[in-house]
Amino acid sequence: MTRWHLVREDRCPSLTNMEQDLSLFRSVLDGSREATFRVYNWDRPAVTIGHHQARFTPRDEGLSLPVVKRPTGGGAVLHGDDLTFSICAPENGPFPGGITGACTEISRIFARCLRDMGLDARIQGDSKSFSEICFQRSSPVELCLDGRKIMGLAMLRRSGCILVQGVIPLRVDASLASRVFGKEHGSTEGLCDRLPWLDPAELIDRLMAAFSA
Amino acid sequence: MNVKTVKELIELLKGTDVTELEWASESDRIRIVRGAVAAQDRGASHQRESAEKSPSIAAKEKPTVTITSPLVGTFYRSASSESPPFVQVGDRVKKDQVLCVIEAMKLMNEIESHIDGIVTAILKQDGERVGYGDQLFIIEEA
Repeated sequence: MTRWHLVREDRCPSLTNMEQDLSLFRSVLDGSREATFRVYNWDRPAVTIGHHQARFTPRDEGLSLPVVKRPTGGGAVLHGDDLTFSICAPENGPFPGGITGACTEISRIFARCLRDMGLDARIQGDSKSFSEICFQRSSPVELCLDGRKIMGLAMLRRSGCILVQGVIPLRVDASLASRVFGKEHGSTEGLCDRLPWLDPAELIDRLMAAFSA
Repeated sequence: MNVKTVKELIELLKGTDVTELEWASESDRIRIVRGAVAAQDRGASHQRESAEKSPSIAAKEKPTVTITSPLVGTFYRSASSESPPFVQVGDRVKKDQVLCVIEAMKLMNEIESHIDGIVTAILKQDGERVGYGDQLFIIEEA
């Protein structure tokens, strides 16, 4: 049985968030921890971009936002009020079945917690779409609510271990999103925008319990 | 016979029905057989060169291992757009040393060498799309 190291943090600076994820990943790589699950948020709006995205310029070039690179792949994400998380584990650890298997299992855990809160969360996706903006594309294993993607996942595989970074936007500043990505921005609603009664702290409690079970 | 020639011959066979090619010059000879047995190990697969060489060449050259792509994606020679390449031709590499990254959808997949050796050929360009089983590097065993 995997011994999970659980980390629950509140709002941190964007650079600190990425460094902390990498630090946890290194602890799994060097064997000092079996697996880690960290939940965090952002002290101010920021954009993260995929590790191989060369640059990112907001549509409104006068907008000043921190732009930081993730160690993982994927597209640009605007963070504001999110349930952001990272998971570090050996490939052959708690999520066997390769990368797709890991993403599916992680999405299942989130779906189960959301269903326990009365939401009809499902795993679906469409690998045909591609966009430089994370929430305008989906893969075969995306967590969706009413057919809309609610969680983004990105991954790094190194030396037999995986780092998964994920995000569920809770409240989206539609005006800011439009200045960052343009009016065609795909996600203008966060989970709490759609479901104001939803308590993110309860979801985090359920996730922490699910990962420590 | 140099690596560039071998690479050109391999490229020549792609998209054809040819399963075996024998090519000879005054000094050496090579036979390439497609669909040879490939061993998979931890996501990246290795394929021994199925090449027969004249005794004089075989005596001079060490065995090589071809690193192939374990997935469809984009081939990157460096950790990021601002970083230097992981390896160059002629570099000595250690087992488990990162050679490249292949990004598939949202996955950054680091491809490692499975032997100690010397990089004798890099068969893809930075940013090039690669398919499953495409040849990426030739490593001469140390």
